[in-house]
Amino acid sequence: MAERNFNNEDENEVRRPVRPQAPRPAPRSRVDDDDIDDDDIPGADDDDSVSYSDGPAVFARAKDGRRRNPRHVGNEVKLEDIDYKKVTVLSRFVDNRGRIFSRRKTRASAKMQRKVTTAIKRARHLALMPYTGEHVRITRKHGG
Amino acid sequence: MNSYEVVYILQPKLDEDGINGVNERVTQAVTGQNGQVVSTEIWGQRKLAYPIKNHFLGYYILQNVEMPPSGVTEVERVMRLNEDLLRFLVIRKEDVKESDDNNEEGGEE
Repeated sequence: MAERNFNNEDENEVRRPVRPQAPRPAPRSRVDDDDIDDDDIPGADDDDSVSYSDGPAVFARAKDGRRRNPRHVGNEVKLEDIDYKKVTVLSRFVDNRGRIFSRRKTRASAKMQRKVTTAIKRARHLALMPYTGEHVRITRKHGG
Repeated sequence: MNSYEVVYILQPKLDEDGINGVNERVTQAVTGQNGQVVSTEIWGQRKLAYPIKNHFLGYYILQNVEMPPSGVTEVERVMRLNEDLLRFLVIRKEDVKESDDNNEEGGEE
């Protein structure tokens, strides 16, 4: 069976069209205007450990609004890839209304299904994924 | 000492000072519990999958933290008290240990 790398491939595929224009505050550089006390700022801002990223992909409907096909998803996804931050991977285990597919449909092993459900629930808590179809509807209406 | 992943969502209208302020508070709470913040990853402003307290956007911050298990409740308490913080999640990271573990078990005598 052809090995597929969902992490990269899928991520890019779904991301490109959806990606928001990310209006984030310009990181620090504005302070440089008058170069007095750049080092004295107490916030420890110029720390190497702080990094900026876009975070996980945004939850999106299946392409063309088609029904998601859950068949054998469990066989294609690797166990280590299941993480609450990997929304693109998790969204394959979920229908357009955000409902988790049963194990009979996904063909996931018991172990995987357990991991998937906890990961999805964590993602929902952090508003990375919707709880219900109503959530999908509301956010789309709101310029989503 | 355990490794934890702390993610929290701030309300989107917060300015940069406000964000740093909350960040500071959380970091202080962690260090107050004999822990330390290993790294911080800022995802920035994102669309929420559903509105929280009538906000459709949120400012996400992820921190990798090391602290003793007893500190978790205190850190969670601090985050719960902050009104600009819409949501948070603290989880323990498990898959850190690898081959070292097997070596120890392998020796029978």
